[in-house]
Amino acid sequence: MKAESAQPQGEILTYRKVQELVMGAMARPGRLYWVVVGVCFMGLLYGASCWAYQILTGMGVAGIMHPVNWGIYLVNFVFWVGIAHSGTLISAILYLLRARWRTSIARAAEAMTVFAVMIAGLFPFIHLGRVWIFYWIIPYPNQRDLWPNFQSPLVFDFLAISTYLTVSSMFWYSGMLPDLAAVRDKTSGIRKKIYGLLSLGWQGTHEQWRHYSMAYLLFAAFATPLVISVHSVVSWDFALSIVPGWHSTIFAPYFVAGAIHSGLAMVLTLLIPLRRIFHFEVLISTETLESIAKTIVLTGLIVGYSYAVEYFMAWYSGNMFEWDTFIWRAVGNYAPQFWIMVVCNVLAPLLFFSKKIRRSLAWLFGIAIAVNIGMWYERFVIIVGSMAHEFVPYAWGLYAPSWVELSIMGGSFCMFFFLFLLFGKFLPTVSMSEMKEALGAPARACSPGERT
Amino acid sequence: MKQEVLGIFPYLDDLLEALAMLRQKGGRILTVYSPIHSEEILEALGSRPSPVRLATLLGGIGGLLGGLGLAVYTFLEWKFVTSAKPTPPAVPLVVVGFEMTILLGFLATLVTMWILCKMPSRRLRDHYEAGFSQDRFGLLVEPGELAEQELLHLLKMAGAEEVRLLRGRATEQS
Amino acid sequence: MAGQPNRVEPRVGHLGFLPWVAMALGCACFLWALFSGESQRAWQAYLVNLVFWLGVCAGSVTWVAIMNMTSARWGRPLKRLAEAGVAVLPGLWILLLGLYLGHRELYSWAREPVHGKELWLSATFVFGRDALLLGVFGAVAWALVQMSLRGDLEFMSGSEKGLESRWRWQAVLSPVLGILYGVGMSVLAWDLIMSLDPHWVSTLFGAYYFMGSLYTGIAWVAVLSSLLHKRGEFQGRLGASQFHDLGKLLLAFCLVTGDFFYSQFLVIWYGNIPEETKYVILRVCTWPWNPLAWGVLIGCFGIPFVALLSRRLKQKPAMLGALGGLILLGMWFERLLLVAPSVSLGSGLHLGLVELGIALGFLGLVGLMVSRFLSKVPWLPRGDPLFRSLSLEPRSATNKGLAASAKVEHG
Repeated sequence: MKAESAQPQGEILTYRKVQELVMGAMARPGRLYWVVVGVCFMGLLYGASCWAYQILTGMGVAGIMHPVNWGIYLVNFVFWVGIAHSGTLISAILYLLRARWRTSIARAAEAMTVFAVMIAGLFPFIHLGRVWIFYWIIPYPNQRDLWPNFQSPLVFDFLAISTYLTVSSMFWYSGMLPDLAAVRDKTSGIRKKIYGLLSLGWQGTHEQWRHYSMAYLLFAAFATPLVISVHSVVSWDFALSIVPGWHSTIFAPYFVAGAIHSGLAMVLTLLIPLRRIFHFEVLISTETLESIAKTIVLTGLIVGYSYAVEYFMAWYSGNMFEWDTFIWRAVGNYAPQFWIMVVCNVLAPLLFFSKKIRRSLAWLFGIAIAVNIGMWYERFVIIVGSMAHEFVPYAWGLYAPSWVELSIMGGSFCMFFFLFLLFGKFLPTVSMSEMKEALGAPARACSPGERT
Repeated sequence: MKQEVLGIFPYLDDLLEALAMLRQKGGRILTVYSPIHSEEILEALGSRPSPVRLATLLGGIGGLLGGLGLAVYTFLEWKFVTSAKPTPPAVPLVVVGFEMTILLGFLATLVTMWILCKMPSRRLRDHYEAGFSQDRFGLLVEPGELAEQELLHLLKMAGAEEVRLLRGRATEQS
Repeated sequence: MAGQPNRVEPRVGHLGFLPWVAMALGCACFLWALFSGESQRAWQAYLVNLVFWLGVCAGSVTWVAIMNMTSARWGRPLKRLAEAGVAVLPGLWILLLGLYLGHRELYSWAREPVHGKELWLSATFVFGRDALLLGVFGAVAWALVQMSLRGDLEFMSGSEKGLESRWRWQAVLSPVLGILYGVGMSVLAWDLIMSLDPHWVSTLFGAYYFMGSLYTGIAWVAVLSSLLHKRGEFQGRLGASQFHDLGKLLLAFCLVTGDFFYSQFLVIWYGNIPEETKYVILRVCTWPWNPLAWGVLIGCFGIPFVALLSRRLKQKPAMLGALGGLILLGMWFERLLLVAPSVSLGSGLHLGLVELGIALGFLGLVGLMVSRFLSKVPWLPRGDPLFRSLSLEPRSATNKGLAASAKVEHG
């Protein structure tokens, strides 16, 4: 706490210190921890039972109805996929760009990614209604020679999300191998056995490092275009239709930027408490948080650019349906949501231009929460708002989520925090091997007089 | 009888020095243990880039062809025309090919990496030290052209905090 | 030491007359076409070259701003080459104003106003806002380059007093330039290119243009650096590692530009709305544009993508320079493909002496301005703190190295 990263990192951190800090966070948890985990788990169970209720009763218990057939299940789907983006951005893209500030936060961000994709993947199933026939989307030979339509954005989605889940989870796990071995070597008993199993027998030989480092670089090289493609594909669920407000060529880059925007905000939301609880101030410096804040400014500007361009083009196109949809967004029934979205996503992050705000934890945390809310509403405005106000005035209609939908959404948040809490206590939350590497190897040249 | 010597180093520069000397004098370096990835160690050992890359390339090409092949095959098999598009349509298949390239390329890299790293394995080597994953570097050498005592001396002079003579399974403190 | 003042030597030598010849040739071709009844062709070639070089110059300067914002150290030795684009901007600004003379030839909205867009698409407003945006962009870019140059010159004359404030100015101006680039280039793309077909819209078009322009800007730096890497101050400073990284960056921008192209194309293809598809069908499905479209796709994205995957190729300056040249050529044709089918509806593709001459004229102007700029300034950004940390930092990653870099990142 007291250190507060005022001193240059090199003076405080040593290999031993890194090890102690990260392993210290994995010490036996207190009662409060279990209470919070329990609460989250109960929330998760509640959400799951609401889903069971929906399956038993039928989709009527959800508020979705013509004309708004895509409700907050899909809002949440897009929201969680978006959250899942920053983990890979931080760990893969910034790895390729050799941005040093990523090192201490990559692991936690990747964990967040994996959990968020898992949750995101659930929502199409929840939305599906008859979830037990989900396997129809898998291309398998069958006697009637029916195949999934590989031209459908929903099949793109299936391919992209399952690829992303596989790649992000294995990327995360592979990155953890040396650390799991380090934990294995420092624990005893059943924990040693478990971490030993998880570390797959990693010993840090030069041969292992040789293949591992090359593979890790390639993983990053794969993950980078993948992460961009995933949210592009999600955006095409909408953009490939001709619904006013959806059919827009800018959607893919705009959604990718928005996803990173929300994901980085979620990283801040999780890291600021984590850093405080585990006393990670030395590992995760204020400069690191500042770098995230700067990146949020960039993504916020891109998102703002997209909003503005969409408005301009809606007018410029001379298409009255398009233009009416956009007018209605700003002044119609969903205007409050729209203005929340604009203020939280575009205007609030502009405050990060001030260095003082970028370096204040309270501001960082507050704006991050605002961006999270704003990004959720952005998806709401786009998905629900466009469907509610399509071409024919006779077919206009409004939508409000039912208690079942809200409960399942709440359950998804509980599941996310539940998984993240387990991760925080049972796995190394900061990559020790990469932190050590960034610190520079211990050299006799740098420590005069010390001889054992 | 086969003899091996394990030197444990607290400092990387000492280890690199020892590596250079061993290579010069003809000791046979079996394994270097390190808690971090270090290009310098790999450079000092004269390692070539890992062949994992080849698996990546093959996996990626396989994924591309497989993904496109499956999609095209299903379109030809079931000429299901939607939204007045040709079957098979060229434009959206880019997405299918792309995702499958990534998936299979990634998986091929992962599996090959595991195989090359000899993972998963349940047992660690007998002389493995817990410190190798924390803050110690290990150097496993066969004397090769060097005399055994000369090798021990060399390692100590280079800065090893501990040097062990390993004979088969028995470990001997020196 | 790095503090030695730079000796200015004649770098173009006896070839210095070439840009003048090219420019004279360009003017002659342009005027000849203008007064021999092919004025539309002349103005079309003028517009293609204008939007192409605008992209290259603005893109390369903006890349400097991006490097400043991200504290990228690897590309520091290339900073001055990328900054050279700023020298061309005044000329391009005048040429943009010159386009006003020919706008009735090119833009159908000038001949018959479009209902509902009379005000937005009126010549005075279009050229007024474009000149203003490009002017402001150019002024900020000029200020940024000035700060960087002055810092270097002061550092080389031994004074380190003002360095910090010079660098702070660059840190402030860089995001401003980035924002102006995004906004300005988008509006320019809508006005100069998209409005050629005043009924066609694509929300991504502006971003597609400025992303492609960054791609060309970096390709331009690759060409310049491969030409100059053995000369003057660059000796020993521009090595395989810089070219490798530059190649990686080109690969990244190749992918991003390709991604933007595909994002735009897929949405239009899938939606199948006549207002949108006619633009694409004209370019992709009809003679004589379709072979050109395939050529652009292969030349700008296909070949560079495959070639840049090779590590060895990226490290070879000559190869990377040639590839940069290919990308520039491909993107020039891409700009042609965006402009020409809308202008000369159905009358086909003209690629004759007029087009060649005008292209040479623009190349001459750019060559003249860039070589004059580079002959007056130090090639390496000696005073740039990130450049200095690059040249001071030891090769091995030790605690000292981290402390040094940590200081830079915080400072």
